[in-house]
Amino acid sequence: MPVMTSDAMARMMHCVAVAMFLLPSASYAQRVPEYELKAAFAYNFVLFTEWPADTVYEGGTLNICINPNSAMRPSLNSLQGKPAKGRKILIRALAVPDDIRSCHVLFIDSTDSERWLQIERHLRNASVLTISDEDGSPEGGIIELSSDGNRVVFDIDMKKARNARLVLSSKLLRLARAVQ
Amino acid sequence: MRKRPLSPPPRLGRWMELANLATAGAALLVASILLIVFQFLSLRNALLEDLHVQAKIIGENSAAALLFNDSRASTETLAVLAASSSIEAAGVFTPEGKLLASFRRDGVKPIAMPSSSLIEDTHRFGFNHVELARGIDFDGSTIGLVAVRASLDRLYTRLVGYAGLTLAVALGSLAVAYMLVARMRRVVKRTEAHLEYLAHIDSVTSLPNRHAFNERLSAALSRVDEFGGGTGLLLLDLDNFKIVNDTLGHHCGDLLLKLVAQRLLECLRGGHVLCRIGGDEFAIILESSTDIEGEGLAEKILVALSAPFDVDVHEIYVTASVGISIYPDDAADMETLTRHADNAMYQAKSKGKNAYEKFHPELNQRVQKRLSIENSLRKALERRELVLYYQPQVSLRDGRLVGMEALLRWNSPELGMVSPLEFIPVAEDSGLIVPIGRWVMHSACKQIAAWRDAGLGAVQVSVNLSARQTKDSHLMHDILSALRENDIPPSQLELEITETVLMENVHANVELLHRLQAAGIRLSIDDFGTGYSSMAYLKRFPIDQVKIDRTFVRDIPGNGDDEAITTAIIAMAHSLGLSVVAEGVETGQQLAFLRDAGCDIMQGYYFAEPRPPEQVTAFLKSRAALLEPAHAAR
Repeated sequence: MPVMTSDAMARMMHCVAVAMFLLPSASYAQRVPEYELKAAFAYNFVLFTEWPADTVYEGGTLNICINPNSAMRPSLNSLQGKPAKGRKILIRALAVPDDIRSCHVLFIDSTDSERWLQIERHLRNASVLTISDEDGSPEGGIIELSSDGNRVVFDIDMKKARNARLVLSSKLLRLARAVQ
Repeated sequence: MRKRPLSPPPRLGRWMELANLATAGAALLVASILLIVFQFLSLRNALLEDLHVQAKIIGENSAAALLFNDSRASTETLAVLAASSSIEAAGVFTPEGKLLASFRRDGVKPIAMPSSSLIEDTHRFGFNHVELARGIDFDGSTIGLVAVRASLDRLYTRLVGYAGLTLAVALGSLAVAYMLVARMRRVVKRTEAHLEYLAHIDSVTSLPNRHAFNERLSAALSRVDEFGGGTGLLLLDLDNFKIVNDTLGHHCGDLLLKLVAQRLLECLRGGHVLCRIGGDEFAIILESSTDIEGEGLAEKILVALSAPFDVDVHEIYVTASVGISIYPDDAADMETLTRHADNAMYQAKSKGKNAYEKFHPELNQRVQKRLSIENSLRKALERRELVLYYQPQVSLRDGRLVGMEALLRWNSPELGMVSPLEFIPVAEDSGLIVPIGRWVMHSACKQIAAWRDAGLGAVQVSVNLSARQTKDSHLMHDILSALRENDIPPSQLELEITETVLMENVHANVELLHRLQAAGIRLSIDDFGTGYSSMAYLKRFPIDQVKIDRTFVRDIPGNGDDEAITTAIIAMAHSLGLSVVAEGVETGQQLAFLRDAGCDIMQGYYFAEPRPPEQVTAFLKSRAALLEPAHAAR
């Protein structure tokens, strides 16, 4: 899919540009409700996703991984211990991408740009639901969040989902802005 | 003047019919209402179930939209409800009560957040609406709720349609049932009328039958009791109907009865009712009649019946015997009235038939006497009141004694000396003749043996056989055992049977006579010339002797007819090889005529009257003594 790849590349460039011009710390306070909303979305995505039967749940938890430096992290932390699909959610700050395969959900944002290639190598079709943010992610995830006015919307990449052997509920697909 | 049958009066019947109809209608109405209520409940339940399903589908499909707070997607989901015509409005609410999406038709009020009580009950029926609330669960927790409001208008419309159909069907079936019942009732009524007809009408003559006769007579007597006046009863019996039936067949018998009924009807006037109460018995009820009218009618009837009847190819002469009794003069109740008329009728019959007799008290006495004769006669055998007298029979040629006729006599302590003419018919009717006949047979045989043992020779005795005895299957056995017990040769016994008895059942009697003759017993025809003196039968019967009836002997010489008949009988009997006995010979002229005519034997007062056995024994002894020297001389 060369079109998509170039599109993603363009978006990545755009994010990089924004990151360069905007101070993350300065914009943080103003973007908190958006992060909260996106965190809530992430939780809902978990509810509408089916992992393959051979998925390993170490310690019985459903792990959502995020870069320790991500601005989303505080908002995401509110999901800590919440029940989902009969398990408890564990938010893990992923410093090094080595044990990325123990993640069930991986949140990708601009802070991952540097180590993206590394992450991508580790992922390699692992059954990990990748959620990216249009606003600065180095690469689009299975689900990509974006803001439309003051609404949060999402797009779904079915090819990636299939590669990861994840099944996304048709109910979720129906709500997506676009499904590729 | 037909009696009305015992059934409810028509007006009451009509009311009962209407009441029945009303009852059936009420039952159908109740059933219809129950059906409609049931239908209403099931329609309502179906609607509710349908709404629950809809709400569940909406809830399922709204879960994601609720989670992502996507009211557009939820509104789209709700829009599907437009297809459910009874749903007016619906909404998806967040647990906090915020409306996420809603649906409503034009012109109806929007849906509101359901109250907590509605949420608890899940649904509530109003007069026009049903409201329903249902939680939306996802992944184990309630994430919102669906509220639906539906109109009941469609349900009511369908219910009205159903009610109309039910009532129409009920009315239709009621109408059909009513028609069927009415038809059935008509059939039953017709059948009842026919049965009533059959029960009261004789099918041969179409006259009222005995049953109807009893009813009518009873009604007539009640009327006399109430209003005064009198009622006459005529009982009529055809004298020789049995012969017609036996010889020409029942078909002709029925035809004759029909013609007789017709002629009788022609004799009647208004107020007279003719009924057929038995085989050949008719009854006529004369309302408010006088004596004379009854006797006048009886005469008229006898005259009317005297003309011959044409039955098929036969010309039949019918005579009748009529008995008359009057209520309340002759009897105080219906039973007595009928019995008296009956007695009078039998009196008429015994007077020689083709006659009528009005009931009178002596008639009753006669009947009473007959009854007392019968009662005494029953005991007569045990009490040894019966005696056999013997009357000698003498040869006309040489004056020799050829035999004795045994004649039954009864000396009753209660009634005195009773004539055989009186008690023999009673014995015949009551069946007593059979044991009496048996006694006569044994008694006669014993006497023969006694005379033999007394050295008085072999006396031949003749005994009379009655009609009833000839039908007794033990007769042959009785006779033979009587002979055997006394060691008497059969040739010493002679049986006399009257011509009339012989003719009653020719076939059976020919057979009986053959058996008797084969046993060696002599046979004689008694009272010859009074009945059907058929030469052909004389030839057929195996007989030895003919007895000329005493009525012919009585008037000879002098009566040319009787002389001719007597001479002819003697000549004919001789030509058939039979001997001839003349009874009732009382004078020398009679004796001389009979001897000239060639008669063989005579019996009568001229020579000797019937005597008790001991006198006869004495007579025989004296005769033996007389003859002894003659023998010795010879």
